[in-house]
Amino acid sequence: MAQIFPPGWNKLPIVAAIAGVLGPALAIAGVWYYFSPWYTDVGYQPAQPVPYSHKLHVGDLGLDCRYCHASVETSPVANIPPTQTCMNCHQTVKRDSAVLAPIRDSAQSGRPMRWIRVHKLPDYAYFAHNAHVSAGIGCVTCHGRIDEMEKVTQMTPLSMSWCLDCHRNPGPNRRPVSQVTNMRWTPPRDLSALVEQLDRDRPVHPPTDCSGCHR
Amino acid sequence: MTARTPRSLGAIALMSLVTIGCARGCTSSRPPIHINPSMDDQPKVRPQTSNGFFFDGASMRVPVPGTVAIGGLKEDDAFFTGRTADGEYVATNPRTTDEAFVERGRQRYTIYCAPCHDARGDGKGILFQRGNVPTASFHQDKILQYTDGQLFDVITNGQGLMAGYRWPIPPADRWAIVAYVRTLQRDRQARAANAPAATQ
Repeated sequence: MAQIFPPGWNKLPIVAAIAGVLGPALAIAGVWYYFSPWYTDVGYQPAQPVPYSHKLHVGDLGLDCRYCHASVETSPVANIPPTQTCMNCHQTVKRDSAVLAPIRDSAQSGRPMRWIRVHKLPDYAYFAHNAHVSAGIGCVTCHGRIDEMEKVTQMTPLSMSWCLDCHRNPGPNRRPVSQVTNMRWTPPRDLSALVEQLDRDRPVHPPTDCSGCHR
Repeated sequence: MTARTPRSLGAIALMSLVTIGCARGCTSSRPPIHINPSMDDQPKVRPQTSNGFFFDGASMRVPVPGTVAIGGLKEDDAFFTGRTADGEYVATNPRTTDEAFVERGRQRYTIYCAPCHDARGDGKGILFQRGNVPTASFHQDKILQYTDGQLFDVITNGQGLMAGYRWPIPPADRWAIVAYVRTLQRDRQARAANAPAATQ
């Protein structure tokens, strides 16, 4: 009668032990790395209907963020500008450019451009741009160096734990309100002195309870 | 091998490794895939989104013509239009032009006006530099003689090649800009008046 367990099966315990350790370890590592918003969301760089370059307009020409995103200081929403804003300059500059044809059409007809949203929070999270701007959180803190981007790319995970990291200790991410739109601002050598001063001038109490953002 | 993890989970992990094969932070034009989409996308109306319900496909509606939002009645002609009730431009700024107001004007000027009119108001901004577009200098006689109301009207409704800035700049800020432009002009004239003395 043949053996029920051939000699090869002698390796079973060691193979099972290795697989039992390695398998779950790999699975945990995979989930940790690939299921994180640092992987799933960061780096999202959609192609827009008109290849508007923030690098050109902000980095090279020096437009302030608020020239277009004018409502950022007064509204929860940092608006996408109406195409009339584009036409302020493009009625004279590159007025016949084929790339800008959709902008001209939109400005003329009043039908909005269908820009593709890059930074999107879940619909159950309510972010207020005005509150963050007036608390001295720079645009660059969440959006990255927009002035260097040909195509806008998501640079931060915009995840709940990432938000809470700052809400629990906002000091290091604060800057004078006058520098909020400055893409090149760097914190001073003596950060703690600045944080102390900002806390004195305008103390902030970012909510860490659920209803702060989920209302 | 991975007998202990659910097969689907293993498959997802393996597939993402194989098909995406990309480290954290590398760029992609494909929309993010959320492992648990939960209620990330809800059919409710949010600002500046598309909405198939309305004929123009936009979620945001414009007010019905002739209606006024609560608190939105613009009664003060001088403040909102720069003109008195009989259509004349107001001569002076209806707001008190104190230091804080002018400073506010300087900030707003830097955002909305300086790109074309440049920081000093000479009309040598990027539009002139890049496109050779003629841009008005605030230090020419014509504009020096404008009343405050007329300046406000130009900011509001535009003039020549310049479009109106009614939308991005609220009225109070437009008056602050008027105050700052006046400061720029006065400053230039004072310098010109003092120049001979300074060279002595």
